Amino acid sequence: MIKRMNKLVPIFFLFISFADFETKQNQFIARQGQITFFSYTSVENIEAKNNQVLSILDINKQEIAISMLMRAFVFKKDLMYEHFNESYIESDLYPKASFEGKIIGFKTSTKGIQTRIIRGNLTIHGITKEIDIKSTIENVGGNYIILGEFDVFVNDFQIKIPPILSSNIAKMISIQFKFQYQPYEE
Amino acid sequence: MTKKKIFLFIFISFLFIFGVYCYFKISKETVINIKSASISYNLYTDDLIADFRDNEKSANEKFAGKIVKIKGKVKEVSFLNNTNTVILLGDESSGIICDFNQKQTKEIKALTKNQTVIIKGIYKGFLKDVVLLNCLLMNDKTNE
Repeated sequence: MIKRMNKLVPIFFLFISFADFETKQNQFIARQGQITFFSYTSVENIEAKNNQVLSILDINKQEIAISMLMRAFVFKKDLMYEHFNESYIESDLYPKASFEGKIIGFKTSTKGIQTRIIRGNLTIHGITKEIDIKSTIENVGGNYIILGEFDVFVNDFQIKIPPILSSNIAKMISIQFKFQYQPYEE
Repeated sequence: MTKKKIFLFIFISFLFIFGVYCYFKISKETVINIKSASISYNLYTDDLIADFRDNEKSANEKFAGKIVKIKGKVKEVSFLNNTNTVILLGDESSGIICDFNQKQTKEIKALTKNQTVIIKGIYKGFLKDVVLLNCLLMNDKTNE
Protein backbone atom coordinates (compact mmCIF):
# COMPACT_ATOMS: atom_id res chain seq x y z
CA MET A 1 0.00 0.00 0.00
CA ILE A 2 2.77 2.41 1.00
CA LYS A 3 4.70 1.49 -2.12
CA ARG A 4 1.67 2.30 -4.19
CA MET A 5 1.25 5.59 -2.40
CA ASN A 6 4.84 6.46 -3.17
CA LYS A 7 4.09 6.02 -6.81
CA LEU A 8 0.88 7.98 -6.66
CA VAL A 9 2.19 10.98 -4.78
CA PRO A 10 4.56 12.19 -7.52
CA ILE A 11 1.84 11.71 -10.11
CA PHE A 12 -0.54 13.67 -7.95
CA PHE A 13 1.96 16.50 -7.65
CA LEU A 14 2.60 16.38 -11.33
CA PHE A 15 -1.10 16.96 -11.94
CA ILE A 16 -1.16 19.90 -9.53
CA SER A 17 1.80 21.58 -11.13
CA PHE A 18 0.37 20.94 -14.56
CA ALA A 19 -2.98 22.48 -13.59
CA ASP A 20 -1.18 25.48 -12.17
CA PHE A 21 0.84 25.85 -15.32
CA GLU A 22 -2.31 25.76 -17.41
CA THR A 23 -4.12 28.53 -15.54
CA LYS A 24 -1.14 30.81 -15.90
CA GLN A 25 -1.05 30.21 -19.62
CA ASN A 26 -4.58 31.53 -19.89
CA GLN A 27 -3.79 34.82 -18.26
CA PHE A 28 -2.19 37.81 -19.88
CA ILE A 29 -1.12 41.08 -18.35
CA ALA A 30 -0.57 44.62 -19.59
CA ARG A 31 1.18 46.87 -17.09
CA GLN A 32 1.60 49.76 -19.46
CA GLY A 33 -1.75 50.02 -21.14
CA GLN A 34 -2.57 53.35 -22.69
CA ILE A 35 -5.80 55.30 -22.22
CA THR A 36 -6.34 58.70 -23.80
CA PHE A 37 -9.42 60.84 -23.41
CA PHE A 38 -10.53 63.82 -25.43
CA SER A 39 -12.91 66.67 -24.81
CA TYR A 40 -13.64 68.75 -27.88
CA THR A 41 -15.45 72.08 -27.61
CA SER A 42 -15.35 75.26 -29.65
CA VAL A 43 -13.54 76.97 -26.75
CA GLU A 44 -10.73 74.48 -26.19
CA ASN A 45 -9.64 70.92 -26.79
CA ILE A 46 -8.45 68.90 -23.86
CA GLU A 47 -6.48 65.72 -24.11
CA ALA A 48 -5.02 63.57 -21.35
CA LYS A 49 -3.01 60.40 -21.50
CA ASN A 50 -2.30 57.62 -19.03
CA ASN A 51 0.46 55.17 -19.97
CA GLN A 52 0.40 53.08 -16.81
CA VAL A 53 -2.97 51.37 -17.04
CA LEU A 54 -3.10 47.85 -15.65
CA SER A 55 -5.11 45.13 -17.34
CA ILE A 56 -5.45 41.40 -16.94
CA LEU A 57 -6.96 39.25 -19.66
CA ASP A 58 -8.17 35.70 -19.11
CA ILE A 59 -8.67 34.09 -22.49
CA ASN A 60 -10.38 30.96 -21.19
CA LYS A 61 -12.98 32.79 -19.11
CA GLN A 62 -13.07 35.54 -21.81
CA GLU A 63 -12.76 38.10 -19.05
CA ILE A 64 -10.93 41.38 -18.93
CA ALA A 65 -10.16 43.59 -15.93
CA ILE A 66 -8.74 47.10 -16.11
CA SER A 67 -7.59 49.47 -13.40
CA MET A 68 -6.00 52.91 -13.61
CA LEU A 69 -4.84 55.76 -11.43
CA MET A 70 -6.63 59.04 -12.09
CA ARG A 71 -3.57 61.02 -11.00
CA ALA A 72 -1.48 59.31 -13.64
CA PHE A 73 -3.30 61.15 -16.44
CA VAL A 74 -0.96 63.67 -18.00
CA PHE A 75 -2.40 66.94 -19.32
CA LYS A 76 -0.82 69.69 -21.39
CA LYS A 77 -1.58 72.31 -18.78
CA ASP A 78 -1.21 72.34 -15.01
CA LEU A 79 -4.59 73.87 -14.43
CA MET A 80 -6.38 71.13 -16.37
CA TYR A 81 -4.68 68.50 -14.21
CA GLU A 82 -5.65 70.39 -11.08
CA HIS A 83 -9.30 70.81 -12.05
CA PHE A 84 -9.57 67.22 -13.20
CA ASN A 85 -8.18 65.71 -10.00
CA GLU A 86 -9.45 68.14 -7.42
CA SER A 87 -12.84 69.28 -8.70
CA TYR A 88 -14.21 66.80 -11.21
CA ILE A 89 -12.88 63.34 -10.47
CA GLU A 90 -12.03 64.01 -6.81
CA SER A 91 -8.99 61.75 -6.90
CA ASP A 92 -8.51 61.84 -3.13
CA LEU A 93 -11.84 60.08 -2.70
CA TYR A 94 -11.78 58.04 -5.90
CA PRO A 95 -8.13 57.48 -6.86
CA LYS A 96 -8.90 54.74 -9.36
CA ALA A 97 -11.21 54.02 -12.26
CA SER A 98 -11.86 50.44 -13.25
CA PHE A 99 -13.57 48.19 -15.73
CA GLU A 100 -14.53 44.55 -15.53
CA GLY A 101 -16.10 42.81 -18.45
CA LYS A 102 -16.57 39.86 -20.69
CA ILE A 103 -15.52 39.60 -24.31
CA ILE A 104 -18.57 38.27 -26.11
CA GLY A 105 -17.89 35.54 -28.63
CA PHE A 106 -14.11 35.67 -28.20
CA LYS A 107 -12.31 32.81 -29.91
CA THR A 108 -8.81 31.85 -28.88
CA SER A 109 -8.43 29.81 -32.05
CA THR A 110 -8.78 32.87 -34.30
CA LYS A 111 -5.43 34.08 -35.57
CA GLY A 112 -5.01 37.71 -36.51
CA ILE A 113 -7.71 40.31 -35.90
CA GLN A 114 -11.21 39.80 -34.51
CA THR A 115 -13.72 42.52 -33.67
CA ARG A 116 -15.78 41.85 -30.55
CA ILE A 117 -18.07 43.56 -28.09
CA ILE A 118 -16.78 43.79 -24.54
CA ARG A 119 -19.66 44.12 -22.09
CA GLY A 120 -18.99 45.12 -18.54
CA ASN A 121 -19.09 47.59 -15.70
CA LEU A 122 -17.17 50.83 -15.86
CA THR A 123 -16.51 52.62 -12.57
CA ILE A 124 -15.45 56.27 -12.59
CA HIS A 125 -15.85 58.73 -9.72
CA GLY A 126 -17.39 55.97 -7.59
CA ILE A 127 -20.28 55.47 -10.05
CA THR A 128 -20.68 52.17 -11.89
CA LYS A 129 -22.31 51.91 -15.33
CA GLU A 130 -22.81 48.99 -17.65
CA ILE A 131 -21.38 49.62 -21.09
CA ASP A 132 -20.67 47.85 -24.36
CA ILE A 133 -17.35 48.59 -26.02
CA LYS A 134 -16.54 47.58 -29.57
CA SER A 135 -12.95 46.39 -29.58
CA THR A 136 -10.38 45.02 -31.92
CA ILE A 137 -8.48 42.05 -30.60
CA GLU A 138 -5.32 41.03 -32.34
CA ASN A 139 -3.44 37.82 -31.73
CA VAL A 140 0.24 38.36 -32.44
CA GLY A 141 2.26 35.20 -32.02
CA GLY A 142 0.24 34.06 -29.00
CA ASN A 143 0.17 37.50 -27.35
CA TYR A 144 -2.77 39.86 -27.56
CA ILE A 145 -3.34 43.50 -28.42
CA ILE A 146 -6.74 44.98 -27.60
CA LEU A 147 -7.72 48.42 -28.79
CA GLY A 148 -10.81 50.50 -29.37
CA GLU A 149 -12.68 53.63 -28.48
CA PHE A 150 -15.95 54.63 -26.89
CA ASP A 151 -17.77 57.65 -25.51
CA VAL A 152 -19.00 58.43 -22.02
CA PHE A 153 -21.26 61.20 -20.80
CA VAL A 154 -19.89 63.36 -18.01
CA ASN A 155 -23.38 63.43 -16.45
CA ASP A 156 -23.58 59.66 -16.12
CA PHE A 157 -20.79 59.67 -13.56
CA GLN A 158 -22.07 62.60 -11.48
CA ILE A 159 -19.10 64.75 -12.39
CA LYS A 160 -20.05 68.32 -11.62
CA ILE A 161 -18.67 71.07 -13.79
CA PRO A 162 -19.31 74.66 -12.69
CA PRO A 163 -21.50 76.66 -15.14
CA ILE A 164 -18.64 79.10 -15.82
CA LEU A 165 -16.50 76.28 -17.26
CA SER A 166 -19.26 74.26 -18.88
CA SER A 167 -18.46 75.71 -22.31
CA ASN A 168 -14.83 74.51 -21.98
CA ILE A 169 -15.64 70.90 -21.29
CA ALA A 170 -17.55 68.61 -23.61
CA LYS A 171 -20.68 66.82 -22.39
CA MET A 172 -19.42 63.71 -24.07
CA ILE A 173 -15.84 62.54 -23.59
CA SER A 174 -14.29 60.15 -26.08
CA ILE A 175 -11.90 57.54 -24.76
CA GLN A 176 -9.29 55.54 -26.64
CA PHE A 177 -7.51 52.53 -25.27
CA LYS A 178 -4.69 50.25 -26.26
CA PHE A 179 -3.39 47.27 -24.30
CA GLN A 180 -0.44 45.13 -25.28
CA TYR A 181 -0.50 41.93 -23.28
CA GLN A 182 2.24 39.57 -22.24
CA PRO A 183 1.86 36.16 -20.61
CA TYR A 184 1.16 36.59 -16.93
CA GLU A 185 3.97 35.28 -14.77
CA GLU A 186 4.19 35.79 -11.05
CA MET B 1 -8.19 115.75 -16.33
CA THR B 2 -10.39 115.16 -13.40
CA LYS B 3 -9.75 112.89 -10.48
CA LYS B 4 -12.42 110.57 -11.83
CA LYS B 5 -10.61 110.12 -15.13
CA ILE B 6 -7.31 109.29 -13.43
CA PHE B 7 -9.02 106.80 -11.23
CA LEU B 8 -10.70 105.20 -14.25
CA PHE B 9 -7.39 105.01 -16.08
CA ILE B 10 -5.69 103.27 -13.16
CA PHE B 11 -8.61 100.94 -12.76
CA ILE B 12 -8.60 99.91 -16.42
CA SER B 13 -4.83 99.39 -16.54
CA PHE B 14 -5.06 97.28 -13.40
CA LEU B 15 -7.81 95.21 -15.01
CA PHE B 16 -5.67 94.78 -18.12
CA ILE B 17 -2.60 93.63 -16.17
CA PHE B 18 -4.74 91.24 -14.15
CA GLY B 19 -6.22 89.84 -17.37
CA VAL B 20 -2.79 89.25 -18.89
CA TYR B 21 -1.62 87.57 -15.69
CA CYS B 22 -4.64 85.28 -15.66
CA TYR B 23 -4.16 84.40 -19.30
CA PHE B 24 -0.57 83.34 -18.74
CA LYS B 25 -1.43 81.42 -15.61
CA ILE B 26 -4.19 79.48 -17.36
CA SER B 27 -2.28 78.77 -20.55
CA LYS B 28 0.91 77.78 -18.75
CA GLU B 29 2.12 74.39 -19.89
CA THR B 30 3.14 71.79 -17.40
CA VAL B 31 6.79 72.19 -16.60
CA ILE B 32 7.74 70.34 -13.48
CA ASN B 33 11.31 70.92 -12.52
CA ILE B 34 11.97 67.62 -10.87
CA LYS B 35 15.69 68.24 -10.70
CA SER B 36 15.45 71.07 -8.22
CA ALA B 37 12.34 69.84 -6.40
CA SER B 38 12.96 68.79 -2.83
CA ILE B 39 12.57 65.17 -1.84
CA SER B 40 9.90 64.17 0.65
CA TYR B 41 10.85 60.53 1.06
CA ASN B 42 14.06 58.62 0.55
CA LEU B 43 13.38 54.93 0.19
CA TYR B 44 14.35 51.49 -1.02
CA THR B 45 12.02 49.60 -3.37
CA ASP B 46 11.27 46.96 -0.73
CA ASP B 47 10.22 49.57 1.85
CA LEU B 48 7.84 51.28 -0.52
CA ILE B 49 6.15 48.05 -1.58
CA ALA B 50 6.01 46.79 2.01
CA ASP B 51 4.16 49.97 2.97
CA PHE B 52 1.49 49.12 0.43
CA ARG B 53 1.27 45.50 1.45
CA ASP B 54 0.57 46.65 5.02
CA ASN B 55 -2.03 49.28 4.31
CA GLU B 56 -2.68 50.62 0.85
CA LYS B 57 -4.96 53.42 1.99
CA SER B 58 -2.63 54.95 4.56
CA ALA B 59 0.36 54.54 2.24
CA ASN B 60 -1.57 56.37 -0.47
CA GLU B 61 -2.33 59.23 1.86
CA LYS B 62 1.29 59.36 2.97
CA PHE B 63 2.83 59.44 -0.49
CA ALA B 64 0.16 60.99 -2.78
CA GLY B 65 1.70 63.63 -5.01
CA LYS B 66 4.97 63.56 -3.03
CA ILE B 67 8.40 63.47 -4.56
CA VAL B 68 10.23 60.30 -3.65
CA LYS B 69 13.78 59.17 -4.18
CA ILE B 70 14.11 55.46 -4.55
CA LYS B 71 16.97 53.03 -4.75
CA GLY B 72 16.48 49.70 -6.46
CA LYS B 73 17.45 47.25 -9.16
CA VAL B 74 16.40 47.49 -12.80
CA LYS B 75 14.01 44.72 -13.80
CA GLU B 76 13.04 45.93 -17.24
CA VAL B 77 13.38 48.93 -19.53
CA SER B 78 10.57 49.68 -21.96
CA PHE B 79 9.89 52.20 -24.70
CA LEU B 80 6.28 51.17 -25.33
CA ASN B 81 3.97 53.84 -26.79
CA ASN B 82 6.84 56.36 -26.99
CA THR B 83 7.34 56.38 -23.26
CA ASN B 84 10.63 55.86 -21.47
CA THR B 85 9.97 53.48 -18.64
CA VAL B 86 12.16 51.74 -16.13
CA ILE B 87 10.56 49.01 -14.04
CA LEU B 88 12.32 48.36 -10.74
CA LEU B 89 12.41 44.95 -9.18
CA GLY B 90 10.13 44.57 -6.18
CA ASP B 91 8.79 41.42 -4.58
CA GLU B 92 7.39 38.44 -6.51
CA SER B 93 4.27 40.20 -7.81
CA SER B 94 4.89 43.94 -7.56
CA GLY B 95 7.46 46.33 -8.89
CA ILE B 96 7.86 50.05 -9.39
CA ILE B 97 7.02 51.61 -12.73
CA CYS B 98 9.02 54.79 -13.32
CA ASP B 99 7.97 56.91 -16.26
CA PHE B 100 10.59 59.35 -17.55
CA ASN B 101 10.43 62.52 -19.54
CA GLN B 102 11.98 62.14 -22.96
CA LYS B 103 15.24 63.86 -21.99
CA GLN B 104 17.15 60.91 -20.57
CA THR B 105 16.64 58.42 -23.41
CA LYS B 106 20.35 57.85 -23.87
CA GLU B 107 20.98 57.14 -20.19
CA ILE B 108 17.97 54.83 -19.98
CA LYS B 109 19.05 52.86 -23.04
CA ALA B 110 22.40 52.25 -21.37
CA LEU B 111 20.84 50.62 -18.30
CA THR B 112 21.32 46.91 -17.80
CA LYS B 113 19.21 44.38 -15.96
CA ASN B 114 19.86 44.21 -12.19
CA GLN B 115 21.86 47.44 -12.25
CA THR B 116 21.33 49.47 -9.10
CA VAL B 117 19.86 52.90 -9.77
CA ILE B 118 18.55 55.85 -7.82
CA ILE B 119 15.43 57.43 -9.27
CA LYS B 120 13.57 60.54 -8.24
CA GLY B 121 9.93 60.88 -9.23
CA ILE B 122 6.43 61.98 -8.33
CA TYR B 123 4.43 59.29 -6.61
CA LYS B 124 1.04 58.67 -8.26
CA GLY B 125 -0.36 55.54 -6.68
CA PHE B 126 -0.42 51.78 -6.57
CA LEU B 127 -2.17 49.32 -8.88
CA LYS B 128 -0.25 46.10 -9.15
CA ASP B 129 2.92 48.13 -9.12
CA VAL B 130 3.78 51.49 -7.64
CA VAL B 131 3.58 54.23 -10.30
CA LEU B 132 6.05 57.13 -10.37
CA LEU B 133 5.86 59.82 -13.05
CA ASN B 134 8.19 62.64 -14.17
CA CYS B 135 11.14 60.53 -13.11
CA LEU B 136 14.77 61.47 -13.17
CA LEU B 137 17.74 59.15 -13.10
CA MET B 138 20.12 60.27 -10.39
CA ASN B 139 23.14 58.10 -11.06
CA ASP B 140 23.60 56.81 -14.55
CA LYS B 141 27.01 55.25 -14.10
CA THR B 142 27.12 53.79 -10.60
CA ASN B 143 27.20 50.04 -10.50
CA GLU B 144 27.13 48.16 -7.27
